Amino acid sequence: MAFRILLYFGLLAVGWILSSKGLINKKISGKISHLQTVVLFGLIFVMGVSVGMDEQVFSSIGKIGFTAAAFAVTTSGFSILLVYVARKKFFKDEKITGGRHD
Amino acid sequence: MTKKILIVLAAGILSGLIMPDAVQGKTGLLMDAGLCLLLFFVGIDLGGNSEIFKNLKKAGFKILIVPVATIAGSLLGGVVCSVLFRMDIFGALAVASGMSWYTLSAIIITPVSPELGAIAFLTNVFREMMAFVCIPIIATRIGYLETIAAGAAISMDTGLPMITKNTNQEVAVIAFISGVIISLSVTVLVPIFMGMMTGM
Repeated sequence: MAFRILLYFGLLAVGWILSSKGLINKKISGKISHLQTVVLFGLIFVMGVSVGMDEQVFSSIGKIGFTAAAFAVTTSGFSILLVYVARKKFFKDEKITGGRHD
Repeated sequence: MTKKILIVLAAGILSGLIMPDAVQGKTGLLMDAGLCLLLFFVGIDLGGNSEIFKNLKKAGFKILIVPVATIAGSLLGGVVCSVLFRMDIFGALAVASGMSWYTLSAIIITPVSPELGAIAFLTNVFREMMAFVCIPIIATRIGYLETIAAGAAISMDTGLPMITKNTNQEVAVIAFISGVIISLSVTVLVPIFMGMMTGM
């Protein structure tokens, strides 16, 4: 866990420093968004493959799938709701809110 | 974006069903490599904007409200589910405390209750998949900070590129910090609730 956090933070920091010091080729930095999309879709595909290959998931979907789906929707929904309430009460900066104060 | 994500995810799941078992050991390595590359790209993206720290400084400690509200919301969802399914409240809270980190929550819960472990595993697999599909919609229709609530623990790793792509660099930094706090809370909350459930 600690190693992973450090690794992720390190990678973000190296990219950040190289970019802020102007050490990244402009041709590459101009294509970063496109590169991110390509790798992101690759990652989602591999994630799907690992779920599809996991027998534990498929064997248990029929039995406990509904309960798990309800848990996923409810926990995620309440998290979104509380962050929404907190955002309306405490955050006004459009850069952070996405320009939504309604 | 959401439609493309669903298509790619479905293609991956279908491919996984027909792929030989030998591939299984390599998916973890591929995901780690892809994730490292993505986080490096996110870093490059962040470094290109010198205004980020100024904007975050303005927000201050308030940004800690985001992980706290995300954790509180998940636990509230767990309480609601315990009532809906007439489950032990601490068991339901342990499942809810997984917050998208399906491997860890299932590993801790399964030795005590295999059925609850399977529910935890599937719940958090669903929550991670839902986050991937819903983040673009949440960013457009609800707000940027709410994308972090959807991602929960994955806001610091697999979900971070998706959040960055659909929001902006300021939110990306808040997402990383929130993801770290939420992930750390998973390691504490799941064992606590399992201990309460078993009376230890």
